[in-house]
Amino acid sequence: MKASNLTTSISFFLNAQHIKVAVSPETTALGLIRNELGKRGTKESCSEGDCGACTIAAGELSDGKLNYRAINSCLWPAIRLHGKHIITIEGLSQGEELNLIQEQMLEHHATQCGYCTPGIIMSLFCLFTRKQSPNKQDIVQALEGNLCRCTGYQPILSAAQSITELLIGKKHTNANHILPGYVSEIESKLVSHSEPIKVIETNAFQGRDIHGYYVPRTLEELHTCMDKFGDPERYRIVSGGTDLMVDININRNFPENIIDISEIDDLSAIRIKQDSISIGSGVTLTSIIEHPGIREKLPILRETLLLVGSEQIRNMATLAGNIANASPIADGVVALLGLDADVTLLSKNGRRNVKLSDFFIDYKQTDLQTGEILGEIHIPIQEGFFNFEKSSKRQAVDIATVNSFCYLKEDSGLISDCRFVFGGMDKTVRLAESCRPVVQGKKLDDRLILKCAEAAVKEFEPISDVRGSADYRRQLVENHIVKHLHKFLSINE
Amino acid sequence: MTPSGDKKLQDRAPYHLSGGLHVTGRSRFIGEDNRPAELLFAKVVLSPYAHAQILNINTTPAAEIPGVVAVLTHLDIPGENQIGLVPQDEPLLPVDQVQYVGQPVAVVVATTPRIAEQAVSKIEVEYEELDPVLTISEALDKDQLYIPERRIKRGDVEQGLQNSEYCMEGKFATGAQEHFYLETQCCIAVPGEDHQITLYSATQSISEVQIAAARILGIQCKDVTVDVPRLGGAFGGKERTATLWACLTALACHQTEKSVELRLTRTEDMLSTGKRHPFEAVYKVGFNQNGKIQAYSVELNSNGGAYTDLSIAILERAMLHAENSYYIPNISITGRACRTNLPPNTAMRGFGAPQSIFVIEQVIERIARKLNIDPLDVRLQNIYKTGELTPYGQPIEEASGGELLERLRQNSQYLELRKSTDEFNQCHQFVKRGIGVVPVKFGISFTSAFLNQGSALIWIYEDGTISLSHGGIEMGQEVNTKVAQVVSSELGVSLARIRQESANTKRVGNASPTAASSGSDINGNAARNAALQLKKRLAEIAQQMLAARYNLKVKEPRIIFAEDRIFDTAAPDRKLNFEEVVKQTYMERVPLGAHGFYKTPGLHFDREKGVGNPFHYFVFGCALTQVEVDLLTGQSDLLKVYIVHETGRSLNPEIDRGQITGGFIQGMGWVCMEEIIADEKGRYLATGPSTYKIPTIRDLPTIFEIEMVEVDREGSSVFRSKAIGEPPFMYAEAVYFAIKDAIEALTEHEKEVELHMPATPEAVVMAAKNHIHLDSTGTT
Ligand SMILES: Cc1cc2nc3c(=O)[nH]c(=O)nc-3n(C[C@H](O)[C@H](O)[C@H](O)COP(=O)(O)OP(=O)(O)OC[C@H]3O[C@@H](n4cnc5c(N)ncnc54)[C@H](O)[C@@H]3O)c2cc1C
Ligand code: FES
Ligand code: FES
Repeated sequence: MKASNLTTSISFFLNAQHIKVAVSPETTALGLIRNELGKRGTKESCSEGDCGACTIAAGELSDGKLNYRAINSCLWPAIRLHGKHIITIEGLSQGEELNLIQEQMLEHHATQCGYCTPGIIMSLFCLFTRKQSPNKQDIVQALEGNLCRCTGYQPILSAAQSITELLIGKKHTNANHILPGYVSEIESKLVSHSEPIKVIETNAFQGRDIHGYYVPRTLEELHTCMDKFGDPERYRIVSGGTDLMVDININRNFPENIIDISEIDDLSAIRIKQDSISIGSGVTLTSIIEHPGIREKLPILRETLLLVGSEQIRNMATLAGNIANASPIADGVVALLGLDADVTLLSKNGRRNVKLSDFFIDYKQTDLQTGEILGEIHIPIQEGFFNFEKSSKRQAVDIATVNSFCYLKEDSGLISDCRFVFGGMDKTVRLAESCRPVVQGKKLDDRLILKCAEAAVKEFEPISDVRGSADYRRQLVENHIVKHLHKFLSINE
Repeated sequence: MTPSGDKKLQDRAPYHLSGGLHVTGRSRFIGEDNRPAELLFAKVVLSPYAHAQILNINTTPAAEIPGVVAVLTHLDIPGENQIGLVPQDEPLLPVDQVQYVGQPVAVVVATTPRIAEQAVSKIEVEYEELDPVLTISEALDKDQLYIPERRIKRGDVEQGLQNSEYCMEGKFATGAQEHFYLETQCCIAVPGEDHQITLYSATQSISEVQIAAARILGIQCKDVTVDVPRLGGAFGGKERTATLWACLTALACHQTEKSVELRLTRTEDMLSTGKRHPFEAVYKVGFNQNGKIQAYSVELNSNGGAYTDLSIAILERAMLHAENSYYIPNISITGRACRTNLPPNTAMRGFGAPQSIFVIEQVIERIARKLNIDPLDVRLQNIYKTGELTPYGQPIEEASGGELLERLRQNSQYLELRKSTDEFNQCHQFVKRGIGVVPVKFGISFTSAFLNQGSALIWIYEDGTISLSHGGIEMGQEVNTKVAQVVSSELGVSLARIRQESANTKRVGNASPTAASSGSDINGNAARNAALQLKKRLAEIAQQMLAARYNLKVKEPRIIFAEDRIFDTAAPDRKLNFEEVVKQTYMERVPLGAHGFYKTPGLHFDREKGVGNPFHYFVFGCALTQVEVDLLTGQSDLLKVYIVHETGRSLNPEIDRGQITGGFIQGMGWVCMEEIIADEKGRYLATGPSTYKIPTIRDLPTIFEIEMVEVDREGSSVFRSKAIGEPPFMYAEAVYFAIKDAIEALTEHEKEVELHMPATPEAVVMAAKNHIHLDSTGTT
């Protein structure tokens, strides 16, 4: 972890090419690929992860095979390219021969101005590398993070559906021509790839925005690194980066140093136990969603997380980041509070467990102390009824105006336990305390539902902002309670 | 006319000409290739106030930063500080007052974008805040109008209202819309010898940029070249708006004598560029028991923003579409364009027509509700018939609106759909379905008659390949594909022979903006004209060659150009290669280049009187949508969309289908999702896709059926095709009415609900809340 070298080179594969290049801490993957490496097929349109024009396929080895995920390259620090295989739009066609996806996009007139097209094709590429016959829902899920203002999407959907048909029917002569030919070669090269990068530092006097970028591999290295700066004002932790990088790109809040915890193996596990599930803070939302144990034991978490961001965002973002970011509207937090989760905080002095409901102190303020990080999330496995509701302006890829979670337990027809959690109504996500006394020990009916809704509304004094007026928010609280409880009744009918 | 008939043209309708480049990432947008080696970067200081006096600008701290090459204010403009068109009311950089949040105040030029950004934050501008005028009503109170109010009138509205069995009055407001082209505003300026400058500008209007840049720099049009390879979307947002950014870049280049790039971030772009005009309308309508409208008076007031821009033309188009597809005997249309302290609102797909059409459609819906008649029947009751006159006196020559509505009724199985919708609503308490229908009649041509002209330049090279230039800008609408098709069809050659050149003021001067859906009409006709000139010359040579080679002598030669061959119908097996005829033409010293020109015939409009024939022809169509609305969350799901659209003889049906789908979804965003919110100081709050939501693939309907009705009409354009860009946008208004219909199902359609436009989830929840009974024991 000695930080002596001022210029650090990263080494990765870009399409069929090996790249070794010096990067600075503030360079994004998009900036590097597009401006410095001159691969201008990858576009920039928003720099905040919302349009998908910058989508690239990031390949990592798992069991000797390259596994590709779509990511927003505008939200990735360039240093994260190290040791990866990156495929961009330029890497799909070989010579003049089009990849099947490109061919079908062309055939279906799925491109007009063409600015969104590379990103859309890369999203489809990642989809088809993992699913040969995705259904409509899969396609929509893979593409909802890619905006197109020209085509109205219908031809893109048709193109994707016909790729599926061609792949199933093997009607296409190169039926397996999704993966470019050079991939297997890169697979073998990556196995013996160079050492991981640990730090990129720049000379602070050169007027750099960010002075150092640190990539600890173990918790010990992490603590040493945090210790070195001491003052938490001097650095920021980055995990998935989907909140932090937006803060840098849009608000131009440059941290003095970045400590990237995404390479720490100790933080990357999901452990399914008898009565609880533990999720390491480095686990991405996609990994949680795809985990068979979660699907079986905690389906509501999966369903909730599928409503967070887009495929690209979920491939990068972590649940711990959702918590640590302490946004009053975080979807993951709403669900976790409803599930009565707690978190383990780690520092060089050891660990402590905190109930999630005690973790949030004020707007964007948490109980994290100097030198501490969020290490693990623990969710008890419980019986009962769970439901998550999210109201946003748009169905896909939108931050909620109000989101809520309901947990109910019934005992011989009477409510024996409950939790109602609301986001977007206060400075932090929080429980609606006044609902419990209304329903506890009672039999649920229309009248009680109304009383419960009334009680909840009285509890909050929301504000008006770009996502909705205070009146609307209040109305949503009422309506969400009705929705939750009607769902409960219809299931228990 | 020519044997290379229109039908054939369609048979070989190709993919997008640039499609292969797009899908491989090889297509190049502005700044993506041949980047000048020593490129400087410009960044703009934007006004934080909607209205303020500029007291002082201190550029020194910024200028001292290493890497800063220049800091420019209005004092550095060598020519005239004016980028306005008609009237000339917009400074490039303000002298004493800023008029909107996001208005450029100064420009920094530096060696890297980041240094430029840092320097911008060091520029100290002292302002004295003034009261801004933000809304239409404030502007009307203060009489801040761009031009005296305009009027179009026919019959006697007062009398008509008195004679009607029912009268109603009301108001309707439509919201702004951000274009959200994926490529933000940008320009690269490259200096040349003798004060010349080349601008690679993301503009829909090369000539406007050329004229404005020359004026700003104190040089002349001959010194300014504007070149546009293609745009990453525009939708009207790069028609006037691009001029500002191009001129700022030109200024930076001129002053530093270096190449300069200016590229707006998404945040800057959305904060400071104008949107679709919000309109507020006040109307009165008189109608009879059967739903027939007797009299309609409507006042259309638009929020034009801080400078005129295109507000007058947009108001005009709004007024010319106020009656949409309906014949209304007594009608009075009043228009006012208001000056406010918002970014100058500007062209966007539909150009005012969506706003005024929305009002009359709202009126129709209300009439139907009032009389308890099916809204589709009220529409049919009033729909234009052939020969009827518009309020401004232009006859509707081939009115097909009624016919198309009948087709729509069939395609959607309307009665059954109504029935099943009602049944669904009977047994659902909080989720309701609704249906909306909207017919559209859209006039084609710029309403400023002089703009309806186009030029093209074709060179056939010695080897038989072709260079094609025209004034149209390729921005995804595939004007390039269509124009190339026209040329390939006339000359009987494959598209592979044709190189579509970038739009460039040196090859095509005085080009009209690519707008008003007219790109293919005007430029296609101009290119055809050039191709016909060349064809005539080639045919003469071919005839001589046939005579010489085959001893072919025909009295009335009929030379055919097809499949890269040239022959006479008299001896179709005696063919010449296209190349050899070209070569021979060259050897004979006959010119192989041609300039084609076209002006749309028969246009005139008297603005003062409000009468004339402003349009070459009309496009007709209609749409029906069905939605399912969750009244608790306000979320709407689009279930079904049926569109019937009359295309004329489409040059390329797949391109036209793409315009219909794309226009509809964009319109859907406007009517139920996209919301421009400003704070009380006139600052836009949604300045990125995180807060401004345009439709995603998840918003597609489950069923999306488009019937394109091909009819051969007298009144149409090149090869009897019809324009396609804008009309489909308005079909989406049917989504709004479907949502309204669904909410009204709460009261069995007995009460009318007030539904804000756009019908966002918030609007839906707030509209439904007074009608919803949470404690009802109704079925769930
Ligand atoms: C396009 C887009 C859409 C989005 N949509 C949604 C949505 O629908 N719902 C939603 O809830 N959120 C959404 N988000 C927000 C964001 O994706 C989530 O909050 C995500 O879970 C953050 O995780 P991350 O790992 O990327 O966090 P990062 O950006 O890495 O970190 C976020 C913050 O937490 C801190 N931090 C991260 N990990 C730790 C740790 N282990 N210990 C201590 N501090 C830590 C960081 O210092 C930073 O301050 C969206 C974001 C984008 C860009
Ligand atoms: S540029 Fe929009 S998501 Fe990256
Ligand atoms: S084709 Fe233009 S944005 Fe998709």
